[in-house]
Amino acid sequence: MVAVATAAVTAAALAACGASGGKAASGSEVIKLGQTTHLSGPAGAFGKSFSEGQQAIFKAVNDAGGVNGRTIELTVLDDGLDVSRAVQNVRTLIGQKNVAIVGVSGAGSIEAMVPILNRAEVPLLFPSKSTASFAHKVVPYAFAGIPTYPDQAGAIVGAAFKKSGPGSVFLVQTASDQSKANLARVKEAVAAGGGTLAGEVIVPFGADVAPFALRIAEKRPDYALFTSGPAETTKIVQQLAAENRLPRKGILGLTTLPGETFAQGTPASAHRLLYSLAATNPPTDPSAKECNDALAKYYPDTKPDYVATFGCMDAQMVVAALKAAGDDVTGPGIVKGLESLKDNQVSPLIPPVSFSSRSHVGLTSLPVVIVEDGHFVRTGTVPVPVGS
Amino acid sequence: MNLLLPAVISGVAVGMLYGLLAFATVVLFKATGTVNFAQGTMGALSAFVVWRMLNGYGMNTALAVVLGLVFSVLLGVVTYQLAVRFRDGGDAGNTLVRTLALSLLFAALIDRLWSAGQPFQFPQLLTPGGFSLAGIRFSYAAFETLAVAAVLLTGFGLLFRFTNVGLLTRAMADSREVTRLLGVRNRRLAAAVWGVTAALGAVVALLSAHTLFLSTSMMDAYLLYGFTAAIAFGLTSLPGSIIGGLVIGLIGNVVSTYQGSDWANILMFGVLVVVLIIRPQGLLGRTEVRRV
Repeated sequence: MVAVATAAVTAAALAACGASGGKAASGSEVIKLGQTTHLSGPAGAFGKSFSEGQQAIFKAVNDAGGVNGRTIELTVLDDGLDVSRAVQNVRTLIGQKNVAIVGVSGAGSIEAMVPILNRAEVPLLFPSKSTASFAHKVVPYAFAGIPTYPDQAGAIVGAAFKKSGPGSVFLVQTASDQSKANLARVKEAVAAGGGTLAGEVIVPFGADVAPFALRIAEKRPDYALFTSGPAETTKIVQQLAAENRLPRKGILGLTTLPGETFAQGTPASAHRLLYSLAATNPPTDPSAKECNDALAKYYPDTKPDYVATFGCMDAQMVVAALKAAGDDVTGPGIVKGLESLKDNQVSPLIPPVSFSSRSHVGLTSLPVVIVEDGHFVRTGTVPVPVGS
Repeated sequence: MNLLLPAVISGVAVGMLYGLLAFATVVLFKATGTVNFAQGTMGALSAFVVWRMLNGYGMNTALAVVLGLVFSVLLGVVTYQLAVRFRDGGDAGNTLVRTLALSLLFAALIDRLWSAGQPFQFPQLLTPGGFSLAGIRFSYAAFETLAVAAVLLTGFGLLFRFTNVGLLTRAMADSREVTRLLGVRNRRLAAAVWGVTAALGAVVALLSAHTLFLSTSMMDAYLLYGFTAAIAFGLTSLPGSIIGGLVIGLIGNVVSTYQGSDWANILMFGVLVVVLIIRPQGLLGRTEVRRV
């Protein structure tokens, strides 16, 4: 109950702030965007940082004249990662005539809201997590920024085999709706690359990781692929490093891995082995300057970390979508505009994106990062084919 | 690599921590008739305070830990005085729900103060590294955890058995009316027990924060297993709480290692249900007989 009250206050405060940068809309025309995300609860830190990254970009765009002369007005509602609250929020946001819902997260919430938004002809733009239900088939009003985790898992295994040679792979997951699909895609990629699957563990959130680290240590695989959350990944890698049982060739990760938790919580011996996909270039990359400047200006208390940078990138994709819609900033207009984007450099933080009427997944390649001197560094890109 | 021995050692180490929480649960229940659902978040709050002193003020680690433990004792006492003491003679369910509300309150307080960036790294308070024997790696931290828990459990066991305070606490558990007639200030004693048990929760949080990472919910699973140990082996049995913690830790880690955590939980909670059906007072608990 206390959490709910706190969440309500936080959401109200954020919503009151909006993203209009305190400036009146040009010609009173505004583009109303809605967002339901987890500002409170176990993943509240992620939701808050991601949302602030987005809002920093929207405010910067508004202060520079807006999109085609219109300012962006963002309404943020907190769902605490609770599916029923997220659905209620989405219904509220639709009722408030928002033209699109942006950057939400929580796989269950996304799955639940996609059909609602589709019926209402309100586009869902680039949630921080993509699921097969709208990434592997075209849902007219749902667009994915990044590929699904199973697609990423297959891609990073293939890329690691090319870089350091095939070998045995141990898959480490936290329980999620994508666990089975992750395993299937990793098996495919391992077989295709001439390697073997050494094993799989599913680690519960908040658990004592010792039993799981023991199982990985026993197999001593060439690669350990972590689709688990950053904290669980870090705990296990920390334990493997302490026992001198790190994987022989690589610690592989998806877009969930890069972040302060891993960089600060694991030793240099683990850093040397890291090879991970990332949703964006790292915040220390020169390409993050626009994002860092916006964060420093509008959210000086927010550290420009990986999650905030991810939020910036997401907002830059949204701005590109609004620009592509031109004067027709309606649900159908945004869909039409997005489907016309081809190899468009919507953000300096990511490779070019493309959408079409046959594919609503924008990024089909992702940055790859390693760790140098305790910081993530971009080392190239890896193609991530969209599965079926 | 032989998995069994390392799994047993890590299971015993974490089992001792479950045992400490179970011990605190039993002590509080015996002394006040209350089960404290806020035990975990109170421990987590104390660990956050230590972390803040270390990171925010650059305090010496030992000093921060000592101050953190003092804070935990005060937290326990103040919590009792402000939220539990009033109208505590009535329905036990009322007090139970109060502790549940306190748990949510402390969680909200932690989130209010330190939600951004969770989970946080917490320094290793025990000796890092380890040694290898017959190809098996043993961590110093596991042995030190065992040692700390063993010292605390033995110390409190002796305290309750051989000191006046311990005897009065046990007497109060048996009959508050009798101790009151003997001139014992029950509520003062209950406040002290709340303080001590809160400190035990803080010790568990501090010992596990390095591996669990510091977060609002870091103690949730530990508290669940601690309660399971206390209930399965008897809410009235101090030795039962320790044995229960060890058994839960061993089953949890060994079964998780070989079969995954789902099977460990199925086994542990399945056994708990069976025990409560066959022996409601717990395996080592005693049946409460009331004269009517």
